[in-house]
Amino acid sequence: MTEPTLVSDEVFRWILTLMTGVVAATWLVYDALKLYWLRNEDGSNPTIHDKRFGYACGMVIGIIGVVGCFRFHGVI
Amino acid sequence: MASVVTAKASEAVARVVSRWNPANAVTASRFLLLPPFAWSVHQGYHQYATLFIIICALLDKVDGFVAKIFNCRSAFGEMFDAITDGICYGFCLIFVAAYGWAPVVPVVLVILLGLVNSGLRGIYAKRAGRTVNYKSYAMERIVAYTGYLVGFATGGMEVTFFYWLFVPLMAVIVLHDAKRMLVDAVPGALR
Repeated sequence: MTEPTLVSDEVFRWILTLMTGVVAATWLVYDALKLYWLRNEDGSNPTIHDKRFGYACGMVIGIIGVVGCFRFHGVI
Repeated sequence: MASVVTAKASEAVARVVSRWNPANAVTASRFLLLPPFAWSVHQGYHQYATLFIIICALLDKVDGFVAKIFNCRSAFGEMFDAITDGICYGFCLIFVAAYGWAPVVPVVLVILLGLVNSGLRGIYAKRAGRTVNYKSYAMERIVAYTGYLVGFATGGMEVTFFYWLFVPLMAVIVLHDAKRMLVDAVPGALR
């Protein structure tokens, strides 16, 4: 018995790619900008420190997401 | 002018938000998606399972908007949201690993790190002397990644790559937050 599907396999692949790639790329740019905007803030302030760490982690996650999409389509 | 500001401030302090509010209802509704998700995985219906986890993740975003619109943000709501994230994503991760859609070892490590993080938050709340959810910018991001992890498994998208890269990242974040929650001073702690 074949699996019931909502869309074709090719469309499903592209939906997954777009949902991951677009969000990851946006996230990467957005967190990079936020990190840049904090460059002159006082790093000894715990909240600023947490924000910097969080945005850096967000950038790493964004890079992982974008690379994963390329791998999914055999580009890398 | 000053008295108006003071009155508004004291109103905000005195305002008690009921636990039975629309935002918490949206958060709780996420549990309703677990049975259809489990059914989809059991039947081997990848696309349906993906759809249910997407809805679950979207509801996670919607509850924040609802809380803003109805002005019903509360410490309990934030804590409930974090607990719901842990239960929903934890359940889904265990389920996809049990059905061989995701590698078991990283899933076990992720669950363990999640439990450690929950324990640390409990200690933090005890130190603060009240219901408080530790605000971690990094953990917010890794939780969103966790939702995606389930989607990668149901969609069969670079599962090994995404799961194995997740573990060290989460370990670093839990270590970072552990220091903040266990060692650093708690803002506004009750003495």
